[in-house]
Amino acid sequence: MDNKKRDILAENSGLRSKPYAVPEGYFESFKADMKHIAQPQQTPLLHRLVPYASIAAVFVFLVAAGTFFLQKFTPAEDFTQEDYLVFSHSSMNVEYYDTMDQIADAEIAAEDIIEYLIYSGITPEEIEIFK
Amino acid sequence: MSVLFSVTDDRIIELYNSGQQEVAFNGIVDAYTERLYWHVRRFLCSHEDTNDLLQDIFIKIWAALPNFRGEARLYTWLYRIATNEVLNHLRKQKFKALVSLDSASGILERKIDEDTSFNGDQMQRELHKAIQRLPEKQRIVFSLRYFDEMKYEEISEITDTTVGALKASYHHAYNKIKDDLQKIF
Repeated sequence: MDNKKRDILAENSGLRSKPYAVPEGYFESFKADMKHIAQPQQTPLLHRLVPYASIAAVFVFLVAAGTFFLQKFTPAEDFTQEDYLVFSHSSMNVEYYDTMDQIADAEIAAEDIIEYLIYSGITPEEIEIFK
Repeated sequence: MSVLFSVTDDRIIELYNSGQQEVAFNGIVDAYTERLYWHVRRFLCSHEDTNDLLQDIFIKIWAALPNFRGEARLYTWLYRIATNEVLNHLRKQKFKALVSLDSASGILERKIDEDTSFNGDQMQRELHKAIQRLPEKQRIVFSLRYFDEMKYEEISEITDTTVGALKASYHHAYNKIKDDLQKIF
């Protein structure tokens, strides 16, 4: 038969059938698992209090840390403006550059790159142009 | 096909509106697990990937159910969620392939060749490999029309594309696959 006139997709209705096997009992166990999603969960009181307790603990820690920091690093009265500038330059900037070096040295996982690309809205086709 | 589904869908919506959200969701799980599984598997090929994505899809459905206003039919709404998840997954795969300097369709074709649970004949294997070579949109339209036998109007609701554009996409996809297969068989 002329190959151009043939329509292999229409001639072979068996092509529409499912060609993959599924593990036995898969659908039943999947349905049972999914139905648990919709069950309202009874959480014990203790578990419900955990988030509130965590927030309170973080708050207490921040207040304590802030108080400690202010007491330790507030310049004394005889601390001159010049002293203050030297102090802030030597401590803050060194930390800043250290952090930048750490960021530059850190390896970025392929997964993170992919997540970033997806959420940046760029399409794989746009990247392929530059390949 | 859709007329048959709509009876169940109406009942599910009725249950949901009467405040029985859990029962309605269980109805969706019962009625749609297999259909959505096959819809997803045609794109992802592997059972494990399909299983993972299907779980995410049902979690999304449960979370989005309060937003279902009944403007769309339930089953097109469900297919829309599933299709969007499939597209996101495929996009991720495409980026992964770009990072590893491979091609996404090549990876999926290899999955079909290596899949021990593939029990179709050689022509089916080539058909499913040819589908993976289609552009995303053509793949979606071809799958929904050829395998699920959906009407263009229904596919239009799912993909947010005009019927005219869908017809053109299906026509291109159909001819490409037909040519690919006729070169081999």
